Amino acid sequence: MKAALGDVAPPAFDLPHALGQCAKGDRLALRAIYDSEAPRMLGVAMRLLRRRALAEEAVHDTFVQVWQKAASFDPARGEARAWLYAVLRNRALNILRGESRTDLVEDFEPMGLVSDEEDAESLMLRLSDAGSLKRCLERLEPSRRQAITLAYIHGLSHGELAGRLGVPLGTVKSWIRRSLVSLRECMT
Amino acid sequence: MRRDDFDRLAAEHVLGLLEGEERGVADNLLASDGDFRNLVELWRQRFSAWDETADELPAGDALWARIESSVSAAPVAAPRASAASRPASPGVLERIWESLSFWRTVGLAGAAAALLMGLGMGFFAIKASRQPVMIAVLLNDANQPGAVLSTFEDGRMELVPLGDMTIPHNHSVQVWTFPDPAGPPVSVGVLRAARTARMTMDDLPQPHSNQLFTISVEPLAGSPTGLPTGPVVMKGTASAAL
Repeated sequence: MKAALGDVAPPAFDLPHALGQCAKGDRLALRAIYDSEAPRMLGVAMRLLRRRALAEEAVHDTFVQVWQKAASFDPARGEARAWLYAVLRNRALNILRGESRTDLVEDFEPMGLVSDEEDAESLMLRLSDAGSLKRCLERLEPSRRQAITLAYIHGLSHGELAGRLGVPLGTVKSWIRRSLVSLRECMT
Repeated sequence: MRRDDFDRLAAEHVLGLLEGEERGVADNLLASDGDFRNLVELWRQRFSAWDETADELPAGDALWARIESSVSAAPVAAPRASAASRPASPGVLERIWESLSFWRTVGLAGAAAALLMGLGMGFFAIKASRQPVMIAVLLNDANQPGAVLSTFEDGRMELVPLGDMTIPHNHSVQVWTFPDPAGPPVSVGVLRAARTARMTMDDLPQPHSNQLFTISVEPLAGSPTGLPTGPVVMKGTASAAL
């Protein structure tokens, strides 16, 4: 048994169909999407935003977008879950970037945010062995892998990564760029 | 732009790493370039396994209730005819965020408020120059005064930008206040140009001393969510005018 659970889409729930129903104004379909997807969406948003209230804000906004834009989702051209999470990540990152600048203004002490963050290596363990993301990340040097992982999962900026990893900004940027080239070649 | 730069831009957009000028470049490409949208889609797929690794957190009825009430209050879904009549491209998703017409739809309320604000200006201009009740000097992130905000007894408010307040292209700035220090910010008005603006705070209680005012950068029609979404560029607290 090579396939891990993470690889298998949750059974039964037909997200593309539910989106189609939303486009027709079916509120129950939106609720069904909420029941099926909101817990995981909250988890993704929490990793980015770290605060429950902000994570809920991102999920709330995402569902409002989904309701309004369900008609523009075309199942023939893209995967519904990817669509949903892209909307969520966009929203969460916008909140995060806005917030972190507020924090800057307030001389917020960034150390307080670090503690509940999962480190890059244990995040790696959560990835399915069968997937190419894990296999290809494993080819990167640990510090570069860490930079990419913290950027995606926790939404760290170049500057925050430099601070966290204790290297100059320019180094972080070139780590990321080279890692992306390597990932692209490995995952094509 | 070299092919590698193009792809790197797409990847860093998905990672959320783009800042400043590059962010604007990527936003424009998303709106205009199908190849770029395809690259973005590829990177989304490459990283999507990570989304599956997040813990599931209980999503309660309270959050659903908020979503439902927002959905009820929101304008009717975007014109379906036009969405159906043209073939959807892979970049449909990106355009949700980038397209002005979408923000217009979402921000209809904000736009309406801005319109009322504009109409109101002429009226208020007549009986301007009365003694303010409260004054707040809003400081930018360099701690320099960026705008002065005065509130008047009749609920009017006047915002005078100082120096070179700039509003990013295709954006607005939105004024917020915190009537309840522990509560969420409440929108006071949306500005698309850095010039003196008058607004009303009729729906809000008379500002109290030390009440916080902030200004954030938002989409052209104002925040789509009713809360600040962009960076806060100025802030300050009110004091009684002597």
